[in-house]
Amino acid sequence: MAYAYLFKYIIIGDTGVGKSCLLLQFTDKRFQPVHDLTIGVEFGARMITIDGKQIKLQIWDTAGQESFRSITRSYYRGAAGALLVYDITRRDTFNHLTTWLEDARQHSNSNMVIMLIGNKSDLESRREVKKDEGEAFAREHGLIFMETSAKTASNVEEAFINTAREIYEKIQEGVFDINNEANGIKIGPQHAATNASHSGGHGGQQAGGGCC
Amino acid sequence: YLLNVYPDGLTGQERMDYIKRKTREYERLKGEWAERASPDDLEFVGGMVLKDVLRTDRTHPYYAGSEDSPHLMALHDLLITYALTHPRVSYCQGMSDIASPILAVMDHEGQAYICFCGIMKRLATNFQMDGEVMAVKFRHLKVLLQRTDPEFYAYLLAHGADDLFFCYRWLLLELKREFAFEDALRLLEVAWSSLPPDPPETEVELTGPPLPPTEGRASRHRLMVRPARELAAGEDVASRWGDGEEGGCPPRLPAKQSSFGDFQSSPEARGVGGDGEEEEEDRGREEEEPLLQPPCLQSLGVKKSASAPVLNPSVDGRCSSPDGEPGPTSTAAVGGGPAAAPPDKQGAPAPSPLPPPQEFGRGNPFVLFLCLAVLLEHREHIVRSQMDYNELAMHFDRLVRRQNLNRVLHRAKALFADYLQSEVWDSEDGDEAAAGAESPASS
Repeated sequence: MAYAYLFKYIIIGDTGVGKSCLLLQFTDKRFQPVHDLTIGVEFGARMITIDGKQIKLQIWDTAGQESFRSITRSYYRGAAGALLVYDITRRDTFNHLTTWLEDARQHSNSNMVIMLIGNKSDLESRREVKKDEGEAFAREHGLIFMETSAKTASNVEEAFINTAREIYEKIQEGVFDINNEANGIKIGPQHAATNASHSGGHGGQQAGGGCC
Repeated sequence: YLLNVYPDGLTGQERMDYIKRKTREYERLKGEWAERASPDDLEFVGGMVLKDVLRTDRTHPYYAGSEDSPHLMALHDLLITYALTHPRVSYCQGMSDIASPILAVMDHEGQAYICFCGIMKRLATNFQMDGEVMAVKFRHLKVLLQRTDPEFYAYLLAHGADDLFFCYRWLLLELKREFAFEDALRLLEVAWSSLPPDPPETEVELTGPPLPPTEGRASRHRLMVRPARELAAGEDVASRWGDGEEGGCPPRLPAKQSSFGDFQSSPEARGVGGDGEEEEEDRGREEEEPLLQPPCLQSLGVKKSASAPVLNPSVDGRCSSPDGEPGPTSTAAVGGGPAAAPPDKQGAPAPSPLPPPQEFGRGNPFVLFLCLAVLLEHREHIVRSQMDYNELAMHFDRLVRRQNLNRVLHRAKALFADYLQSEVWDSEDGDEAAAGAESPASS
């Protein structure tokens, strides 16, 4: 399908925080309470629209456990956006955020947009991490923040789309070099028309400047 | 039998006595949790195992239903006992997938544990933190594909999918998850019977070696905490991995077939050494540079570097750099992806000869042929639909538990037979190939 841009995302965070469920909710609009545990990396994709432009999101859903770090780390570098997920009902998953963030920052390109997600917001009665704490952590580290529920689908769309919007704005500001695919951004066929006219211009010059 | 639980030469009665005795030993070990781990560690491992047991094969009737079913509890207890009695391996995700079919078939926790120990003697290295054994398996699969179907390999290369990372789960779990449960049982039985027997000398060990004193409580932390230092060093092993051109063979193997178990227990096989670690450090520093200089990255094979695997050596001092590749080389491999891979880039690959069966796939060659068969089953569809990396990875994810066993087995057997008959793996050639393949990397 034609798209203007392709953004690559990576989903990271401790095991069992709901990474795969968030992805499934976003791509298939369903919740599967009993989900196979992720081995290595699993993959998903969906098309969204921002500013009237079709954007394809390519999402890498990584396994949370350290034993897979050898493979999951290799996916950081090609990502434009990261969803860093913790579970609001498990304090330890929140405590590990710093380590995850260091890991992500160290292995990704510096412009990668990181969205902090407190998942399982439907389990209010078992909450261990206050929303304020998530917000404070995000502020302190320059992340965007949302609480979501993969179960009820609350804020799931928004989380993925807001991340895309942030990346899109960075592109408009010229922060991202969109011609470098290592940034996790690819210009799609929809865009090709404008691009072709640019390169056509160059080509013309080289060919003797007929058009200029 | 197939899991190398019984020693040779027992009579039927002796076998029954043996298994009864081992079962009692298991019950005893299970009673020792509290002596083997601090309450914190126990809670930590228990929490991880529980989380995973609750999402392992739950659609199968044996594990379906209530979360406190005795079958789930048995799987849980078995895995915790293994983790606590094998501190060097501990618990890693994926083990529940390996233990689950064994328990469902044996329908007896103690006996299933004994079998699990048997199979883990061979598979524990898959779960090493440095990923080195998995890296070797990837390299072998890549060479095999390149040799069997250069055209498809070229397609994957052109789409940046030649790292074959979407096969990770296949290799880690020996394809257990790719087939429906009952099919997986048949698959595992066929695959296990393809292996040469490796019966225990006296009896199968139900416990592993203790942690070296220096590691102390690291076993817990290694699962969660990611020391910053190790990362950069990891890249380098990684580069050896992804750009598989550098080597077709595992760097160092214990003598022969009969010593599968030695993979974990022999220090030689792990290449642990002070020097090795220093090298890692040095390389680590060099490796960081490309990361800190994004402009350099742009000139690299972007896809290559974006998909270059990143390994994670010696978190706890185990295993790293068994072949001690010199530092500058690996910098080149990471920093200059394309330069490190000229044969591929020019589309004129000269596939190295395949390693001999006892080395191929780290001692389990048939699994590589199963992976190859699965890839080839879908080759036409992938090429016809012009799938990119993500699409083909998603394609295979959708096929979890839905691969066609008969077709795959049939194809894998034929390919495997060709390999065995061709004798391209003649032991000496294999060694040469290994030596030869290493040299471009160190030039």
